[in-house]
Amino acid sequence: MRILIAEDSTLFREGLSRLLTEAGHEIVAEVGDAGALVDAVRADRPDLCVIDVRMPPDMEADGARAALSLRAEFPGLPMLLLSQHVETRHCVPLVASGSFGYLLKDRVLRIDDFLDAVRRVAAGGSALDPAVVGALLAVTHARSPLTALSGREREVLALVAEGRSNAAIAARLVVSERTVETHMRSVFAKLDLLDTDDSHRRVLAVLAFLTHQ
Amino acid sequence: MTRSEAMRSMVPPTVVAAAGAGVLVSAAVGPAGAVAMAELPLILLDLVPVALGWLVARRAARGPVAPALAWTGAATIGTHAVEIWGETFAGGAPWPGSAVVAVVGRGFWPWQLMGFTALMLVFPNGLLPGRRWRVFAWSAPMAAALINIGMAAPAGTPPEQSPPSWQIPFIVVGLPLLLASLLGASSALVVRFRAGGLRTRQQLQWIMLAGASVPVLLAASWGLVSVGVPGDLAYSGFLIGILVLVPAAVTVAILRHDLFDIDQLLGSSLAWLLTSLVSAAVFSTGVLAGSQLFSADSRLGVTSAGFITALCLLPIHQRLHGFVGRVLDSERTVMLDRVGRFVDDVREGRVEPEAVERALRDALRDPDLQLLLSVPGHGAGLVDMFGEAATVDGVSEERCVPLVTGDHRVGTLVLGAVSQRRRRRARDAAMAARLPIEVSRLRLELREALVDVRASRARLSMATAAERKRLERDLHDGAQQRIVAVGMRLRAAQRQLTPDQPVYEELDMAVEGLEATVIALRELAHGVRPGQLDDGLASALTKLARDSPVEVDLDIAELELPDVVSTTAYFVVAEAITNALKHAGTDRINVSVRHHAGRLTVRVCDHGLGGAHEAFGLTSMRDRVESVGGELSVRSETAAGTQITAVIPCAS
Repeated sequence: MRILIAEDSTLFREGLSRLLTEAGHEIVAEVGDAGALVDAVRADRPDLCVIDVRMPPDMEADGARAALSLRAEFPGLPMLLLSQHVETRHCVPLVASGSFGYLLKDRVLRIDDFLDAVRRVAAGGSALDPAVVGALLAVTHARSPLTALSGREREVLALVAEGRSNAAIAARLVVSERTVETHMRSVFAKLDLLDTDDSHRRVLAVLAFLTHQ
Repeated sequence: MTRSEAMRSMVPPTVVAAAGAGVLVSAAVGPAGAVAMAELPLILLDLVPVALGWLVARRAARGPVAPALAWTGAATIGTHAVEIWGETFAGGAPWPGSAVVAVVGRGFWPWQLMGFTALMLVFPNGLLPGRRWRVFAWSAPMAAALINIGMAAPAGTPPEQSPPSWQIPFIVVGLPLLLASLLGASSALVVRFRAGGLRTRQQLQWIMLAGASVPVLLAASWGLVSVGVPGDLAYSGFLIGILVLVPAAVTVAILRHDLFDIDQLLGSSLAWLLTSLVSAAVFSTGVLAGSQLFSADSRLGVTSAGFITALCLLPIHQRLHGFVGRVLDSERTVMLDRVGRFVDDVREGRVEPEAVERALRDALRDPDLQLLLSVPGHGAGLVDMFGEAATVDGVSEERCVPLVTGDHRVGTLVLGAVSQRRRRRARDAAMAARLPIEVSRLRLELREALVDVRASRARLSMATAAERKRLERDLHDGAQQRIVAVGMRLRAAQRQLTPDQPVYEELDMAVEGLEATVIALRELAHGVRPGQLDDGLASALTKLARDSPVEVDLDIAELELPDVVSTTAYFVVAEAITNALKHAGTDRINVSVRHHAGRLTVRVCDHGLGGAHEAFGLTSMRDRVESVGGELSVRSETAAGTQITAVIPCAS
């Protein structure tokens, strides 16, 4: 697929570019700041943008802000945000909109997981780092119904929010798939949500709930 | 009365004085030798009041005071001249007309008192104290005339011969009338003093001071006579007192009544005079008693009497001084009393020393008075009682009373109303209040130093916070990023290989090592400054609460706060939760964060054992909070849980 990379660190950008190219993707543009990112998207209409959250000009969450404005301009554009540490302030509305991923940069080193995340996001799904999910949950009020969740349920929900299937979660937690389903039913019950079988919708439902806190 | 009128009124006494002086001088230099040359300087002293009269008339045309003053000298010298002229009849070379003059000359003496009588009646403002006082203005000359008639005798009558019977009634009526007139006139001074204002009192006090010297000089001259000094010489001191001191006092009182601190001068003089009298009484009583007790050795009596007198001298003087001060100058006494009470109040802690300005205003009855202090750090500048910079530029020098301790100037008293007297009073008051003044000055200095220290501490914590943020960024964007990039190269290299090669697994392990390093660096950066704070304090605290092994009930709204404030609040909560887990044995922690009126209030309560003390990391927490200008309070009673509250000022 045609991918755009927005990353100010040359070293990392080149590594990423090489990695994606070797995985069979085409890099349509490499930019180093938020302004160039928006221009490049308008010019090249990539299939996916990989965006560093912290970029020039302000070295604050410029990438995340650019992502927000891109989402408004190109609603379906898949975006994968990368960051050295979790800052979720600008991401909450994006999480609920689908075709969105947010990973810590070192996840790139797990190449297969990373490429899997790229594919999921490009396909309209989500890819959220467990740390990001944790932070997103933390943004909610401590008195929210989420506090009613048990530790295990929260863990499962976090994995669901990463966009993983029940089977993947079961494998990850070394439990049966039925157990995961039970946990999820309990989560939906506690959060007053109707059960559906679509994992993305479940994530979006959960995260939409989070954004309204 | 205009000046020219005043000048005209000076003519008669001057003419009389000049004529009298002429007569006396010619009597002294003339062949008859009716007046000894040695007496001449004393006689000419009479001209002093006349000269002073002119001075007063020129400088302050003040009704009849100037001529009355001149008349005190003129009447004396005139009377003397008439007497001498009359006496030449009996001498070897009678002057022309001496036969006639001798007739009135014998009883002429009361006239010399007329100048003083007039002066007492019209001093200091030139008016009689009231309409009825005219009686004395008439009765005194009438009495003088009666006596003069009663004592008139044909020239050549020997002095010891009694007057004929028709003249007796004149004398019998005249003498008491004269006495009554003199007493009445002098009572005018007392009446004026009691009813008079500040200025009148001060003026009268000058006369009282000079008047008090008259009996003292008289007593002294008696004393000199009794030890064998020739009478004339002894009495000349007395004459100087009468003829120079009193007129001089009148002149000063009229022209420069606040030249010296007359109240104090008079008070001290009177107090010493009274002390001397009382001491003399104590001494003589002691000697008398001693001579009864130790009749064998009179020296013992004198010594013990001296000892007793010395013992009583100081306390007696202090009491008399206080008493005289209250009677003569109640205003100063009241003022010092008020200041003294204020100083006592300050010492007892009932009022703040900074109230000294108000106390001085009250005591000196000067509502516009200002106390300015010099505080180091303001250079030569002054500050008011609130520490605001102030200046005395443009304030007339007269209104400024410098306050000096040792050789450095501690401040300035700026008076609202000025007179020499007020300046003296202000100096006295400031002297009495120097303790609270100095204390306020030092406290002001301390307060300023504290403000400086707080400001510099706040700057330091801002700098530290900025430094932490920079360090955190450097870790994330520098080291971490590079490690990840290296990891990616390794992965790229790994792709060239097949999984069955031994180095393939080697590279896997290397990359895992790098991943662990990145996580370690991330945690390190978090310790330096929780990156979560970038998402706001609420988010960072919620994560903190979620990671806690016991239930943390967090009550916080989304807040936009300065970085240094949210970092401090975060660390307070983190530290307090750690403490609660470590020491309190609690199962639930409540955290609330409120932002109100520019202050962030962070409260962490547990429901554990309580009894927290400084060793529980509270000191470092307090330092952190105070470094950003906040306050930390801890309530921790045994078995009642611990409540830690930090109030942090924040501009947003």
